Amino acid sequence: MAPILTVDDLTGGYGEQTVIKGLSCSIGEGEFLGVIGPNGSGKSTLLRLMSRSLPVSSGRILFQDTDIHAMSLKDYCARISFVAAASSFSGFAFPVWDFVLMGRMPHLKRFEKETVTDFAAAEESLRLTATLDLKDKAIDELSAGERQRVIIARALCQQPQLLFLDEPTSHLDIGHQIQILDLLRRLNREKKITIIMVIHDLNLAAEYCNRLMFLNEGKIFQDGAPQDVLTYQNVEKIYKTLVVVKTNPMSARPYIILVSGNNKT
Amino acid sequence: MKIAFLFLGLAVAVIAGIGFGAVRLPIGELFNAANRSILFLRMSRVALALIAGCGLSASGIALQAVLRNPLAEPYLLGTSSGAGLGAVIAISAGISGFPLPVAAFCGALVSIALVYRLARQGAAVPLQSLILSGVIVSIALSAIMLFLISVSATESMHSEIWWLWGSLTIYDIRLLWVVAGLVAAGIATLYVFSRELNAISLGEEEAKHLGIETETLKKTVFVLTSLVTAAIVCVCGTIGFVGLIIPHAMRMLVGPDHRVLIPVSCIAGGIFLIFCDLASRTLFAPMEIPIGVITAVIGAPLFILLLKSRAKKV
Repeated sequence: MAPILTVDDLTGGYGEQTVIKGLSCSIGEGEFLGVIGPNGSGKSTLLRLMSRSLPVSSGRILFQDTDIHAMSLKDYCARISFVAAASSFSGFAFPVWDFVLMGRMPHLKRFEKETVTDFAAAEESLRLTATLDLKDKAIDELSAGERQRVIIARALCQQPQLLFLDEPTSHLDIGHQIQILDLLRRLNREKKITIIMVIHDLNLAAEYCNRLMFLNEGKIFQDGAPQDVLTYQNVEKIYKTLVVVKTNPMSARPYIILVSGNNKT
Repeated sequence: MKIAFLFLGLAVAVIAGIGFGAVRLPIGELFNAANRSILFLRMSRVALALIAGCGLSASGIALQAVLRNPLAEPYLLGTSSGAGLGAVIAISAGISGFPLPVAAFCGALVSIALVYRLARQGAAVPLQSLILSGVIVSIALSAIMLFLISVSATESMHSEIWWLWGSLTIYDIRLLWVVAGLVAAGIATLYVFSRELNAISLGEEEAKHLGIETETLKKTVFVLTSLVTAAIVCVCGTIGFVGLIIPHAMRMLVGPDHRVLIPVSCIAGGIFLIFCDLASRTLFAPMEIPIGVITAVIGAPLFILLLKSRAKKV
């Protein structure tokens, strides 16, 4: 498995504040990686450093063999795309079709008009996310679950090799959570898109990701298969709360049971 | 269809703007040699109204997209108070004619530079600090301006206040060409960035993830809209409301895609200002009402009407 992203001694954060402190890792093509960890452990920061929406202080990130800062942002965004947390939408009311078509921007030159290829890519992404029948609606008329699917459709329309997601299921009910994550699993398996996802819910992370990166205080605490990372010792140590870890009988993945009244923070 | 309506509206506005005025003349007689100067005067006013309407609308759109603030308008970033201060200084120094707008333009440039310097943090220009420094520079410069007006002689006070309220009277045709050139170049450049404006209107981070260098885009939009606004303000004074409501109104009518929104709003802004100018010079003829009064009096109810009718539909 050739690495798609190699992070080498990465340090970075917001302005003066360093969040990620000397982190190194390698993500292989076709992986479905979950980044987990407590609040403030640097999950979202790491994702933003890797997607180039935050500048790197030191260290480097390679996409395949090229430093991501050695290519133009536009070229990089023709290879990756980013889906943010499902939240209230505040932008202008673009129709879904126009919104998804914006995903073609990294592939178009300044005065170039969208062609049949671009329309086909948009339609394909709408179909994959089961949002084709919404295409004439305005983005602000959609429910939270529909909107998140449309946002993923735009990310797919970019035709990325690597997809970043920052808590794609927060604020969604369990039905929509499963719908989004099943969709991601299908994209990972059928479209061979590598996925790096920040997710708070440890059970969903264990269920869907084939590798988990457990962050604590800007460093990797442990990195590996879900059953190796999500032990009750690890969870209790980092989250400072009592849990019981069982195996999900349906998927044989680890399953965490909370024990209330025992927080040690 | 909507486009055809807009052009029809523009044609009607231009004909009305030239056909009517403080002096009542049948259209036929307007083209007599004796009335050549009246015709010329009206044509130049209509042209200036069109230019100012286009420029203010386009600037308002671009700033609303970049700042993602529904209250953003061309004067938000302090350009108008800089121009106003420049003009007031010039008028109290006894300057009139061609150098007056030049002084106003210099004042605007100073305020643009000041706002930019205050807002900048390293290589980045955060939006919040841009808005805040725009507001603060506006307040400071307006205070100096008010002080100068209050200590100036009565006769210059009148022309200062007139200048601030805005008027499309043109006393030097060369100015018209300069402003037209600047505004046209500014709008054309903004139009080139319309796809980027679409992306950044969704959010700065979203735009970055679509491959857009947002810092460059923000600076470009800031400089372009400031120059366009400065050029208009230094000739017409501060005509309020156009740059705020035309973009909102047109967004409700044709949607938020800037590739359509920019040209449509330019035409709509032009039509709106031509009619407002017509009202300002004919309603109480031979007296002229400041055009800023008209834009607010006509614009506010029109906008509320549009808002209500849309609310019912949704």
